[in-house]
Amino acid sequence: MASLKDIRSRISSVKNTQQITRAMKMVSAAKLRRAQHNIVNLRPYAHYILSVIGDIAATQRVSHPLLKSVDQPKKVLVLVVTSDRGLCGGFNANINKFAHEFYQSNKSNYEKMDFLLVGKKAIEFFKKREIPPVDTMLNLAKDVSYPLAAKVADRCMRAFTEGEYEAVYLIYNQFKSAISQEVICERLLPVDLSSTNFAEKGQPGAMFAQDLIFEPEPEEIIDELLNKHFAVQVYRCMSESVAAEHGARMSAMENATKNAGEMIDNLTLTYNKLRQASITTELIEITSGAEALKG
Amino acid sequence: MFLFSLVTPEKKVITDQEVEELLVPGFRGQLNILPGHAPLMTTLSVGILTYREKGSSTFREVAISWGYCEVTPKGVIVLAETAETKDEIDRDRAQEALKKAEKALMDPDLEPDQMKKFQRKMERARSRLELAAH
Repeated sequence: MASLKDIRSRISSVKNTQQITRAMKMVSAAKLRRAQHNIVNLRPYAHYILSVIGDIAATQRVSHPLLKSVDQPKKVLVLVVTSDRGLCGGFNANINKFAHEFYQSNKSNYEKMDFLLVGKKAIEFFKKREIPPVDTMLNLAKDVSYPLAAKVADRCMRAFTEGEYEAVYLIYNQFKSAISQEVICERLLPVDLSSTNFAEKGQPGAMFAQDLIFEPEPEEIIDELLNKHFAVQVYRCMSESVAAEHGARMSAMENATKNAGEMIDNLTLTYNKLRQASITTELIEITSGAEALKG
Repeated sequence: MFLFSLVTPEKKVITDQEVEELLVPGFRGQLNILPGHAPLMTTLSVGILTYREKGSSTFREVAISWGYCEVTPKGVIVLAETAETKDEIDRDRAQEALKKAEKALMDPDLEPDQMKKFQRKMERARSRLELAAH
C-alpha cells in the first residue's frame, strides 16, 4: 500500500508532465497554423503546373526523358519522409510500417530498390532493419524551404535522367486536417500526364492541342517547367509532411493532457480516501485509549 | 469572356475569374488575350499584368515576375513566381532593392550567376515601382 507521501509526489509528478504536454500542444497548434497556411496556398500552384505539363504533353510535339514511362520499372528510388522528433502518435510508425511493407512486397519485383530517407525516425528504423539508404536528410521541420526541396529534387532527377532509376516514388503523410493524416505513396517520376485541359484523344476538339503555339520553342519551355514541377512537388510533399506532423503531435499531446488529467483525478481520489482512513484510525485509537483510561 | 486564374507558389491570387481582356508581359513583349484566343503557351518576363473583369470597364493591375502563361479553350492559367497588387507593394522596400541591385551590378568582378541574380532583382524592383507609381 502506497503511503500518503508517495501518492502526493506522484500527483505532483503527473501534474508536471501534464504541464509539459499542454505546452507542447500549444506550440504544435501554433506551428500547425503556419504550416497549414503554407500548404493550402501551395496546392493550387502544384496542381496547375501539372495540368500545364499535361497540356504540353497532349500536343505530342515534345519528348523529354522525365515524361517517358516504362511499363515495368526495374530500378526504383523511394523517398520516405518522416519527422526528426517523436511524441506525435502514430505519425512515424505508420510511415515506417508502410515503407517496410512496400519494401517487403516489392523487393522481388525490382532489380534495384534504393531508399532516400528524410527525418531521423526513418533513418533509425531502417538502420535497425539493416536496409542501407542511398542518402539521408535531417532537420526538415525546422526549415522546410524551397531551396532544400529543390536540392533533393535535383539529385533525384539527375539520377533518373542518367538512367540510374526508372521510377521515383515518395511515401509521406498527407495532411488531411488538423486531426487526421494519411500515408500516401505517390509516383513522382516519370510525370503522370493523365490530366489535360484539352479534349481526350479521338474526341472533337482534340486537334486543338496540336495547334498550341509555343513562345519560345517547346523544348526550351518543357525542360524548365519539368524541373520546376518536380521541385514544387517535392516541396509540396515535404510541406504536407511537416503540417501533418504538427497536427499529429497536437492531437497526441491533447490526448496525453487529457489522460494526465484523468490520472490526477484518480490519484487525488485515492489520496483523499487514504487520508480519511488514516484519520478514522487515529480517532478510533484516541477514543479507545480514553475508554481504557476511564475503565 | 473567359476564365482566368493566377497562382504563385505562395498563394492563389485569382481563381477562375471571368474576364473580358487580359494583357500579359510575354516572352516576346506585351501580349493581349481576348476571348477566342488560339491555344498558346509562353514564358513570361517581369512586368505588369492587366485584366478587365466581366462587366467592368476599369483595368486591374498586378506586378508579376517570371512564370508561364497558358491559353487553352477552357481558360487562361498564369503561373508566376510572385504577384502583387498595387496595395501590396512596399514602395520604400522596392526602392531600396533597386538601389542595392544597381550598386551590386556596378561591381566589375561580379560572378556571372550573381550578375543574373541582381539583374533579376533590379527588373523586379523596377516593375514594382512602376505599378506603385500609377
